[in-house]
Amino acid sequence: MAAGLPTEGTNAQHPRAGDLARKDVPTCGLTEKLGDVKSRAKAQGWDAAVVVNEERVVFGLLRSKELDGDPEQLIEKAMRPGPSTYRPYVSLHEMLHAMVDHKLVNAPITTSDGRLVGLLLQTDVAAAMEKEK
Amino acid sequence: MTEGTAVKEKCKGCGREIEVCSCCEEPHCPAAICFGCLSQELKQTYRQPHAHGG
Repeated sequence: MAAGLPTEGTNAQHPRAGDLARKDVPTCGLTEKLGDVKSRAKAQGWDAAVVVNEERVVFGLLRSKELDGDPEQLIEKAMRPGPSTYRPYVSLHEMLHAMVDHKLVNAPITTSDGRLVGLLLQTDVAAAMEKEK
Repeated sequence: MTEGTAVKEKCKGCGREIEVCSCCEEPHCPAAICFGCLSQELKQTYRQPHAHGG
Protein backbone atom coordinates (compact mmCIF):
# COMPACT_ATOMS: atom_id res chain seq x y z
CA MET A 1 0.00 0.00 0.00
CA ALA A 2 2.83 2.40 0.81
CA ALA A 3 4.13 1.93 -2.75
CA GLY A 4 0.82 3.11 -4.21
CA LEU A 5 0.04 -0.25 -5.80
CA PRO A 6 -3.53 -1.54 -6.25
CA THR A 7 -5.14 -3.24 -3.26
CA GLU A 8 -7.77 -5.92 -2.85
CA GLY A 9 -10.24 -7.04 -0.18
CA THR A 10 -13.40 -5.51 1.23
CA ASN A 11 -11.66 -2.33 2.38
CA ALA A 12 -10.13 -1.74 -1.04
CA GLN A 13 -13.36 -0.27 -2.38
CA HIS A 14 -12.94 2.87 -0.25
CA PRO A 15 -10.80 5.41 -2.13
CA ARG A 16 -7.66 6.56 -0.39
CA ALA A 17 -5.26 9.46 -0.78
CA GLY A 18 -3.29 7.72 -3.54
CA ASP A 19 -6.42 7.01 -5.58
CA LEU A 20 -7.51 10.63 -5.63
CA ALA A 21 -4.08 12.26 -5.96
CA ARG A 22 -3.74 14.03 -9.30
CA LYS A 23 -1.02 12.25 -11.22
CA ASP A 24 -0.89 14.99 -13.86
CA VAL A 25 0.48 17.62 -11.47
CA PRO A 26 3.23 19.66 -13.15
CA THR A 27 6.73 18.83 -11.97
CA CYS A 28 10.01 20.69 -12.33
CA GLY A 29 13.67 20.45 -11.44
CA LEU A 30 15.77 22.48 -9.03
CA THR A 31 17.64 24.43 -11.72
CA GLU A 32 14.64 25.75 -13.65
CA LYS A 33 13.46 29.34 -13.42
CA LEU A 34 10.32 30.12 -11.46
CA GLY A 35 8.76 32.11 -14.31
CA ASP A 36 9.11 29.19 -16.73
CA VAL A 37 7.55 26.74 -14.27
CA LYS A 38 4.72 29.13 -13.41
CA SER A 39 3.76 29.63 -17.05
CA ARG A 40 3.93 25.89 -17.70
CA ALA A 41 1.75 25.16 -14.67
CA LYS A 42 -0.77 27.90 -15.57
CA ALA A 43 -1.00 26.58 -19.13
CA GLN A 44 -2.04 23.22 -17.69
CA GLY A 45 -4.57 24.86 -15.36
CA TRP A 46 -2.54 24.46 -12.18
CA ASP A 47 -1.47 26.89 -9.48
CA ALA A 48 0.96 24.44 -7.91
CA ALA A 49 3.94 22.36 -8.99
CA VAL A 50 6.08 19.70 -7.35
CA VAL A 51 9.89 19.85 -7.43
CA VAL A 52 11.36 16.43 -8.11
CA ASN A 53 14.63 14.87 -9.22
CA GLU A 54 15.06 12.52 -12.18
CA GLU A 55 13.73 9.61 -10.09
CA ARG A 56 10.63 11.63 -9.12
CA VAL A 57 11.74 11.93 -5.51
CA VAL A 58 10.06 15.02 -4.04
CA PHE A 59 12.45 17.84 -3.10
CA GLY A 60 10.00 20.68 -2.71
CA LEU A 61 6.61 22.16 -3.38
CA LEU A 62 5.47 25.32 -5.13
CA ARG A 63 2.02 26.44 -4.04
CA SER A 64 0.46 29.61 -5.50
CA LYS A 65 2.28 31.78 -2.93
CA GLU A 66 5.69 30.47 -4.04
CA LEU A 67 4.75 30.60 -7.75
CA ASP A 68 4.01 34.31 -7.38
CA GLY A 69 7.65 35.04 -6.49
CA ASP A 70 10.36 36.59 -8.67
CA PRO A 71 10.16 34.85 -12.08
CA GLU A 72 13.95 35.00 -12.47
CA GLN A 73 14.52 33.10 -9.24
CA LEU A 74 15.74 29.51 -9.42
CA ILE A 75 13.34 26.86 -8.16
CA GLU A 76 15.78 25.74 -5.47
CA LYS A 77 15.54 29.21 -3.89
CA ALA A 78 11.81 29.72 -4.45
CA MET A 79 10.43 26.35 -3.40
CA ARG A 80 9.10 25.23 -0.05
CA PRO A 81 11.82 22.65 0.69
CA GLY A 82 11.11 19.21 2.16
CA PRO A 83 7.34 19.54 2.37
CA SER A 84 5.29 17.20 4.54
CA THR A 85 4.25 14.28 2.39
CA TYR A 86 1.58 11.67 2.95
CA ARG A 87 1.34 8.01 2.05
CA PRO A 88 -1.11 6.73 -0.58
CA TYR A 89 -2.95 4.49 1.90
CA VAL A 90 -4.10 7.30 4.23
CA SER A 91 -7.90 7.36 4.35
CA LEU A 92 -9.74 10.29 2.82
CA HIS A 93 -11.50 11.03 6.08
CA GLU A 94 -8.20 11.48 7.90
CA MET A 95 -6.67 13.46 5.04
CA LEU A 96 -9.63 15.83 4.89
CA HIS A 97 -9.51 16.33 8.64
CA ALA A 98 -5.80 17.24 8.50
CA MET A 99 -6.17 19.44 5.41
CA VAL A 100 -9.08 21.42 6.86
CA ASP A 101 -7.44 21.78 10.28
CA HIS A 102 -4.23 23.07 8.73
CA LYS A 103 -5.79 24.99 5.81
CA LEU A 104 -3.91 22.93 3.21
CA VAL A 105 -5.31 23.37 -0.29
CA ASN A 106 -3.17 20.51 -1.53
CA ALA A 107 -0.78 17.89 -0.21
CA PRO A 108 1.86 15.80 -1.98
CA ILE A 109 1.32 12.05 -1.86
CA THR A 110 4.49 9.98 -2.07
CA THR A 111 5.56 6.39 -1.69
CA SER A 112 7.51 5.49 1.44
CA ASP A 113 10.76 6.07 -0.49
CA GLY A 114 9.71 9.60 -1.36
CA ARG A 115 8.64 9.17 -4.99
CA LEU A 116 5.77 11.34 -6.13
CA VAL A 117 2.41 9.63 -6.59
CA GLY A 118 0.47 12.84 -7.17
CA LEU A 119 -0.91 15.99 -5.60
CA LEU A 120 -4.05 15.61 -3.51
CA LEU A 121 -6.45 18.56 -3.68
CA GLN A 122 -8.67 19.38 -0.73
CA THR A 123 -11.58 20.05 -3.10
CA ASP A 124 -11.25 16.54 -4.57
CA VAL A 125 -11.22 14.95 -1.12
CA ALA A 126 -14.26 16.94 0.03
CA ALA A 127 -16.17 16.00 -3.15
CA ALA A 128 -15.30 12.31 -2.77
CA MET A 129 -16.34 12.30 0.89
CA GLU A 130 -19.64 13.91 -0.04
CA LYS A 131 -20.19 11.21 -2.68
CA GLU A 132 -19.46 8.42 -0.17
CA LYS A 133 -22.21 9.63 2.21
CA MET B 1 26.13 32.87 24.10
CA THR B 2 23.29 33.32 21.67
CA GLU B 3 19.71 32.40 22.24
CA GLY B 4 17.63 30.54 19.69
CA THR B 5 15.14 32.73 17.86
CA ALA B 6 12.79 29.96 16.75
CA VAL B 7 9.27 30.40 18.05
CA LYS B 8 8.28 27.28 19.93
CA GLU B 9 4.88 25.74 19.45
CA LYS B 10 3.25 22.98 21.47
CA CYS B 11 2.15 19.77 19.83
CA LYS B 12 -1.62 19.36 20.22
CA GLY B 13 -1.10 15.60 20.64
CA CYS B 14 1.71 15.13 23.13
CA GLY B 15 2.34 18.68 24.30
CA ARG B 16 6.01 18.52 23.29
CA GLU B 17 7.63 21.77 22.14
CA ILE B 18 8.16 21.86 18.39
CA GLU B 19 9.65 24.51 16.10
CA VAL B 20 6.98 24.27 13.46
CA CYS B 21 3.83 22.30 12.73
CA SER B 22 4.71 19.08 10.86
CA CYS B 23 1.51 19.22 8.84
CA CYS B 24 1.37 22.75 7.40
CA GLU B 25 4.83 24.04 8.38
CA GLU B 26 3.28 27.43 9.06
CA PRO B 27 4.30 29.47 12.10
CA HIS B 28 1.64 30.01 14.77
CA CYS B 29 -0.49 27.10 13.56
CA PRO B 30 -3.42 26.80 15.99
CA ALA B 31 -3.42 23.00 15.57
CA ALA B 32 0.37 22.52 15.60
CA ILE B 33 1.32 18.86 15.68
CA CYS B 34 4.64 17.01 15.85
CA PHE B 35 5.72 14.49 13.21
CA GLY B 36 5.11 11.49 15.49
CA CYS B 37 1.59 12.50 16.47
CA LEU B 38 0.72 13.42 12.87
CA SER B 39 1.90 10.02 11.63
CA GLN B 40 -0.23 8.31 14.27
CA GLU B 41 -3.25 10.53 13.56
CA LEU B 42 -3.13 9.59 9.89
CA LYS B 43 -2.40 5.96 10.80
CA GLN B 44 0.84 6.12 8.86
CA THR B 45 2.44 4.52 11.89
CA TYR B 46 1.20 2.93 15.09
CA ARG B 47 2.46 3.31 18.62
CA GLN B 48 4.49 0.21 19.39
CA PRO B 49 3.72 -1.83 22.49
CA HIS B 50 6.18 -1.51 25.34
CA ALA B 51 9.40 -3.21 24.26
CA HIS B 52 10.09 -5.04 27.52
CA GLY B 53 6.75 -5.80 29.08
CA GLY B 54 6.39 -8.01 32.13
